[in-house]
Amino acid sequence: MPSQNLPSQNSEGPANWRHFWLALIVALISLVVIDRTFGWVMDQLYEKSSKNPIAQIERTKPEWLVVGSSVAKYAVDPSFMDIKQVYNAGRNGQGIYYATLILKALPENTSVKRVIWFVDPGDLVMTLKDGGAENIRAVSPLVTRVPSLRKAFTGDDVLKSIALYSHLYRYRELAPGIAARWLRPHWQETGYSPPAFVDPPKPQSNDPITEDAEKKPKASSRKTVLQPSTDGQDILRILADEIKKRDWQLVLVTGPVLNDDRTTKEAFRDIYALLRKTMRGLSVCDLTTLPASGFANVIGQSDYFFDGAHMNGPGAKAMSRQLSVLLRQHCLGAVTSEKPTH
Amino acid sequence: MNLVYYVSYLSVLAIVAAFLGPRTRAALLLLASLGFYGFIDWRFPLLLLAIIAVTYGGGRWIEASGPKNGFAAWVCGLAVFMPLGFYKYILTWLEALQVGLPTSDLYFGGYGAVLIPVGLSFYTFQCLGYLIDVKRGAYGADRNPMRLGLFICFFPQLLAGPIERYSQLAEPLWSTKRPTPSMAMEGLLWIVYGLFLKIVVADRLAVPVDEAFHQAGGAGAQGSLIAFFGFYFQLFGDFGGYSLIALGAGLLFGIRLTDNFKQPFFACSIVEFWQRWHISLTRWVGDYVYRPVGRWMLRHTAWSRNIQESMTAVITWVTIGLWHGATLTFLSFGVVQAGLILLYKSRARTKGRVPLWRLLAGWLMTFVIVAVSFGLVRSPDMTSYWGLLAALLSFADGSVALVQAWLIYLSIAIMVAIEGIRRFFPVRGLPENFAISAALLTFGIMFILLFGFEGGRSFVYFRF
Repeated sequence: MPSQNLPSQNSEGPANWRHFWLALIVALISLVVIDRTFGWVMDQLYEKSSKNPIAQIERTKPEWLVVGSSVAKYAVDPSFMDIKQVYNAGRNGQGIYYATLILKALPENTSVKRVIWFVDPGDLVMTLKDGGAENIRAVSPLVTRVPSLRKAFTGDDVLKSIALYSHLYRYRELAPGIAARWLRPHWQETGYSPPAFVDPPKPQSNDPITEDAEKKPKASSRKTVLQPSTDGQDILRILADEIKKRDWQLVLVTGPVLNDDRTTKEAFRDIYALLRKTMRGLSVCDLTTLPASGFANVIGQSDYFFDGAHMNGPGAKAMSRQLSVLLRQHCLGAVTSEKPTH
Repeated sequence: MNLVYYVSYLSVLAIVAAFLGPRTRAALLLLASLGFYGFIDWRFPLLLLAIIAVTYGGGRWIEASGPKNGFAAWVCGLAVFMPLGFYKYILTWLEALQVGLPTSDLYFGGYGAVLIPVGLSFYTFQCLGYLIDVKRGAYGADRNPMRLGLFICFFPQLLAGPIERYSQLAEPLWSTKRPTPSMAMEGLLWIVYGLFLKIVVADRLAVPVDEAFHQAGGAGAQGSLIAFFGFYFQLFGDFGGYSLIALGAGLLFGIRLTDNFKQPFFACSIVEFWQRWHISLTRWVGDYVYRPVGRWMLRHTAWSRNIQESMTAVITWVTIGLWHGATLTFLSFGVVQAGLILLYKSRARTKGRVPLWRLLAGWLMTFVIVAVSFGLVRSPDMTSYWGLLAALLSFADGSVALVQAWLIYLSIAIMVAIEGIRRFFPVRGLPENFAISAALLTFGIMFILLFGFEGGRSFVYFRF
């Protein structure tokens, strides 16, 4: 704005509009310079920080990669699997957007060849507006590398999509943790870490472990058959394209839930149908269609869970062993499948 | 309401307004204020326009009624108060009536749904203040409905105050002088600091505080500490942040609104605290409730001076409590504050120099008492409040998770440090020093971008 166009009658001596605008312009330029410099430094740190899930995965060079929410995180302890080179990248609140982002952000020459996805069908019912991808903020530095998933981060918020160009915003709340884990990395050899608590966690609105249960559609409490959202269909297509592009084998697993009942699966019937339809033609090993007996010796044991959906150490051991058996029986050797292999 | 949109709206308006003449600028501000309100719900401006019309007509009627204007004043006052009374009190008791009415669809975190149109209490009190002043003959009724309308609905202070006086705001708004560069810089500094208080401090604290109140004592003594002290800091960050944004926004248009908070954390007595907290409300209640009631007591009762003072204080504070809402918790809040003030007044030494230890003890007691009593404002009901208090006093086990606790502590420390500097080492002429101001703006924006809390909610006081 030309400062001479602004009124001068109220100017206070030297403190005039010209200086005012000059100061603001300098502040703006400084902000941009700080933002870029900070971003450059953080990008370098992030590449080598154990906070970066891609760095964690690539360091162990796994062939099998487990993705999914806290259910997957606590269910698979690769050290008890007789299949080697498995890395559990499941994390709290890792819905389909988060998981797809991880998969898409893996380098072209990654060692990963098979992906075990602990499907949470509720992910596909939720829209972005419902907060379907809200936990993606935990990996926001990766979002900018995957243009097709920017929308998952920004939703329909124009300002948020502009803000994402700012490195300060991109590393919001994450920077100290990234720097700390760059200085003192905490590399996880298998990705698995047992739950730190013994008692069931109390419900907390900001606890990513329990928030899934609070926010996602509770199928068993509804009589209707749930339908996939448009956003859910979109992200599923993006995931399928990535699997196809990378020529990966995808293993679909239903997360172990204590005494999992049939009504839940019935309510998500259409979601699973869409899932299978979208994945048709890909190399898919679908363990979700197994009779409940596939994991019966695991999901019926309350001793294996520290709450209804999350396994404790012994539970993870049992689940991992059972998963190994099922993978050997149904997936190893199976390549492209028009129909689910089971 | 997205704060970034608000700031963008504000910036564009401030720049456009700077190029317009006084009348056009006032007209723009009036339209922009109504548009701003309509952005929340298109029916809100209709309600606001109705209240403006009643206030305008009421002022003229009161003035025309001459010395015997009591009846006109009561009728007009009740007419202006009616929407607030209906929404705040009738609807609270008869929730079934709410269907089809314009209500605030804003997100307040753990507060739940809100029936009242946002800001209604604030502008109703402004209108009542105007009508009372006209009745008293403090000034004549405004003959210009646009000027009165702009005074009532000036958007920076429309939603949560400060509650301004007609005599101080109407004319400056109508004949708005353009801001000086230092005013504009000061405005920007307040806005950035207000955003820091809201986005970094209050919104982050809201999560554990909501959880602590949700558990209502189940989270043990630690949870109760978070509930009481966390909410005190959260409320200051939220309401104080809003007030500073409003102050800054006003300065961008050349208007200096009331500074609603003057470092209340450092008050050494409950009386001093209320001279520093929500100043525009306490002044309003002081002028239009406390003094008239006190005068009435003197004239019409034969009670002792102490009883008269006590009754006046109770009525005044119950009014403040009920201004927040028609629930037992708000009523109790008012009664507790009245009790604390009366207790302080009965014990306070008014003469001689107060020793340092007494000041420090007074500060500590005030800090604790205020924090604990503010729990009444936030508690959903008295049972929850007693649960929290019992858990605190019995050192009960339990906890509430503080996610990124270090950031919560850091942001509170920065807030308290800035408030401490403002209180004890006020920096004069900072906005005139553009270089330092620009550096502070850069640092502030950087800090907000880096540490602001994602997933914020509306300002707490919008619901009142």
